[in-house]
Amino acid sequence: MLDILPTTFIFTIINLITLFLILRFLFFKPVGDFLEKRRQKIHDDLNNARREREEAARLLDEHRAMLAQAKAEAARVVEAALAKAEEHREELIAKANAEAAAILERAKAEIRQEQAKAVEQLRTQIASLSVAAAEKLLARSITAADQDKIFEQVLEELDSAYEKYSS
Amino acid sequence: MISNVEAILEGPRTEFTIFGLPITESVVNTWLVMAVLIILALIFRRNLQVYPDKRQNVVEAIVEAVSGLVNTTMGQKNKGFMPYIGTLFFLLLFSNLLGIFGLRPPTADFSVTIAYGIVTFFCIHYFAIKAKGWSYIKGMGEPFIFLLPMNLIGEVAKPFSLGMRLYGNLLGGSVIMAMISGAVALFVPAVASIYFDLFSGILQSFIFVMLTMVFITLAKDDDE
Repeated sequence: MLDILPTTFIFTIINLITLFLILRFLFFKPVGDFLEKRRQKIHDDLNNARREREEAARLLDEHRAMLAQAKAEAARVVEAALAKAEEHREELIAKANAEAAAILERAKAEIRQEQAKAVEQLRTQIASLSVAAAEKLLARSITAADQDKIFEQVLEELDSAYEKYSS
Repeated sequence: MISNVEAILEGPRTEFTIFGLPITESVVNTWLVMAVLIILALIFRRNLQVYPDKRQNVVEAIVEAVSGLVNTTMGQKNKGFMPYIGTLFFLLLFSNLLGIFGLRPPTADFSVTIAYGIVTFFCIHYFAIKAKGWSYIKGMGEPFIFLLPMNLIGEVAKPFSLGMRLYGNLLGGSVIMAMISGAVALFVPAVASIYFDLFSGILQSFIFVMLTMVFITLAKDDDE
């Protein structure tokens, strides 16, 4: 029963090796390669997903930081603009005040000048009228010397009256 | 019915001869098993997709189970043995289960099982010498040189123990099944068959493959 039949022995070894080569070629290699490829793909996909999630988190942080920075910047700009506007306003007010004062001053000066001119004009006119009236009254012409004398006199009286009036 | 037992004990029939070489039932039945395995392989490996259907789930479960077994027993670096171990396992499994279909299991023939044992024997020493070189051969004379004969006997015993265990279990199972069938024809053989054909068949193929893996790994990777 334990004798070995050489043909069966040899054929069994040949069968085993043949089946091994056939199954390796037909089944184990392709299926193993396929499973390995899929494992690799899943591994890669998971890795990619993790990398992308990290990237997204990083971007989110970055954007948050940028937003905060932009807000701070905006606040700073608004504050600066307000300060500048305030400064500008005060400057304008000061300038307007100064201008108004200057205009007022000029107007006063002009008024004074006009007044002086009017007084002067009035003075000479009154003097000439007085001379003309004296001539009429006396019914003769007055000499140049008398004329000057009357002129002087009228003017003096006028001046004293004016001074009394204006003081 | 006794003649059935006797037929089993007589050994495999010679089916025909080629150039005067007798081709026995064992070889013919092995060819049948090979044909079945090749057809199954062709059916199962067709049209593999990233999202598996039911058929592909079965294929993946089988392949993952075999590579898981090889990886845990032989280690990650020996996963290249997986196709051979898978082939050996399914060849032995289907051979052992042939008894269920009323055919003579090829593995109930010592000429067959010793051949598998011898292949394992050559695998053990080929890969060990390939991995360790001269130090593996020198290792036979360790720890003391006078233990060399012991070690050699131990190595030669491995294929015989493998072959005889498989042969004895399968022949014994077949004989017992024939006897039970002869004694009680109804129901009892079906229940007994679950153990003697199915369970024993699966267990013996598993043991053979497991020992093959352990022997190869021990000889190849064990630190000197």
